[in-house]
Amino acid sequence: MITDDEVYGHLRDELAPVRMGPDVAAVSARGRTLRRRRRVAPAAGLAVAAVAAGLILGIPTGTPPRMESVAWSVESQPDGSVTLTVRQLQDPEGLSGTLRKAGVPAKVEFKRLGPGEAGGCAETGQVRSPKLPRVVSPEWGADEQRMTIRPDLMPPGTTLHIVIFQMPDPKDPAGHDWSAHLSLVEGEPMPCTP
Amino acid sequence: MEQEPGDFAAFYQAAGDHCLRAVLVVVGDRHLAEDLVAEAFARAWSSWSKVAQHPAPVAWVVRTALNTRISWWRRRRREVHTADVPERDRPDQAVTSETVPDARLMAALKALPKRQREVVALRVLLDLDAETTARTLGIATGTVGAHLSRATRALRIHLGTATEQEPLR
Repeated sequence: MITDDEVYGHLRDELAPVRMGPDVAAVSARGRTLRRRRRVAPAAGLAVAAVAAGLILGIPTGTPPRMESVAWSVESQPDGSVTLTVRQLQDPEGLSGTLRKAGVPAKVEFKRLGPGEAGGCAETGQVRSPKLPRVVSPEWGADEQRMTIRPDLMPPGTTLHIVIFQMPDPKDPAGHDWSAHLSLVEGEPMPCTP
Repeated sequence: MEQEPGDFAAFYQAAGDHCLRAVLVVVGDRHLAEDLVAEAFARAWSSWSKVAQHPAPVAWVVRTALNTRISWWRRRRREVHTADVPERDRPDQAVTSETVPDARLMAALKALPKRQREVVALRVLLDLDAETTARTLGIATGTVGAHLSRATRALRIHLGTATEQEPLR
């Protein structure tokens, strides 16, 4: 006769190898998004008006400095890295300028794609640095794109080219998917063409 | 940069796998369970000052996971890749163990009524007492014992059948 404890022990043993995949950093990032959304919601109307007027909100948060709009935010970290969060594809020129002010030579492009279109940029022939993976650490989410940038690791004379694509989600009419093209090129990046 | 909620990381490290196993027993789908638990922990992070005061934070997480129907984490897995970033650096490469328990055991669990699976998850896998289990599920404490007893009986039959073919470890 199998005892209750043996039944429970078998159940626990069988399930023991099952372990969570997402690490605590991924969970925290998602939690941060949820918390920010709760805080931003009441002020969204005011912020939208400010952006419409061409303003970028400099929101003082003590250190580190943070530049934020409804569409994106740029935050300089104490360790010298810069955190970029993109929530909406708006004002790429303003974002490029804000990143430069934060010490990241960057060119940002936003592109909306139609159903079935694939994101990507044609080869331009520009010299690319192989150090990109060390310079940029992306975290992809359905609601926002987030990346940590290490400007101190960018080779002199290079520019970070960030092209973010947004396309309809075929499985969720109310949602969308993201993709991005990142490259670290010598000089000024040429515009992305399909 | 927002402050990391104090001891959340320790809580996640200690309880994450247990919560996943508990939710897996209820929903029966490995990926769905992970999605739900990850979202529940994210919600715990965003309300950590409140959740940390909860008498049984793991029960809060599992209850939240079972009440959650979202596609966020699943969508995250199928994100389109980033050009120029090596495979090893892509987020969907760092996903998760694909470990799935014995299919016969999962079938036996799936055959149980949902309430029995919930009781097994909380009582057996999270080791919560009957009172906390009852409170979490919104049922009477005595009912917890009845559900657990029926579930145990059914699982014992499954094990009896299984052990005719291979010895119980």
